[in-house]
Amino acid sequence: MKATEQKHNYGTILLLLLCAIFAALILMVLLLGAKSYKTVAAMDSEAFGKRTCDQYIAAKIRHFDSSANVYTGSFSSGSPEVSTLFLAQNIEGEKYVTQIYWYDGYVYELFSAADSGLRPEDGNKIMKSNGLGFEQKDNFITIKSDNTDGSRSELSVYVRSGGGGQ
Amino acid sequence: MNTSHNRSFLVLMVLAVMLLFFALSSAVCVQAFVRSYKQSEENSRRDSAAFAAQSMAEAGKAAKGESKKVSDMLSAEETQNGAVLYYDKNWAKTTAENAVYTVCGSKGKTDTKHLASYNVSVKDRENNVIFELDTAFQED
Repeated sequence: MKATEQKHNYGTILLLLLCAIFAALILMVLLLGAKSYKTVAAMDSEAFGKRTCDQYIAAKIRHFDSSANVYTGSFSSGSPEVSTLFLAQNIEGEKYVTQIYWYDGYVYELFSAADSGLRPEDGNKIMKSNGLGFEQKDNFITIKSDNTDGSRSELSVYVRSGGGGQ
Repeated sequence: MNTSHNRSFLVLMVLAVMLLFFALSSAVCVQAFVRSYKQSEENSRRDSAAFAAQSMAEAGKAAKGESKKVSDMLSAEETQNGAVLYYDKNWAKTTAENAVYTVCGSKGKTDTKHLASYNVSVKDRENNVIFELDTAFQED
């Protein structure tokens, strides 16, 4: 009778052990899946950030690419160190400028009259970024962005209308 | 006693089948995780390659395919095959010795009169083409 009871106990222990292994394996696979999903989502988000910012600006340059309306420089007022892309247009004889720049962790866009005197913080936040700069060689504009993952991406755009007008 | 023995055996069998099924399904899951990670990495690499190729193509069109001008614009190396840019694994510009990716742009011909092409290819260290971009421009 005692021997049977002991056998029964071993059986229960074995069962519990198997259940524990099973539970541990399920947890491991779940954790692995969650980690994998997190990594892939982070990579996609970084890629989105990289692509979107530069392509948005490149599309804006192409949109305004007519009669020397695209040029780079410093922000029009207040913060001379803010590297800015200027996209100018004439509306009813008055000059208006769309300024794209980086300020306080964000890419900003500000549309105003050329002599509005608005400050960098007055613009609209476009997206989060670690930095943005513009470099111009004649009619060739290079967009330099510091991405949120610490990497730096560059995209050069050729201004077909000539660029450089101020 | 015999009934009890049979019941234990049955429970063990059920558990063994469950473990087997679980092992099979987790193998499939892990494979899917690895594949999605690799795919995401590949997409990211191709995105960066497209960016590098786009810049080179823009320069090629601006310079009307002249390698010297393209090299000046992008601080690239001028070779017999055209302008060449070298990138490291993080897509930062580097030297030929440390290059993981190479972006090469060269002028070509088209069948149309006064229309030239500028072809850009991005290759990895094993010389596999990751991305190609062919553009055309009007010759003077």
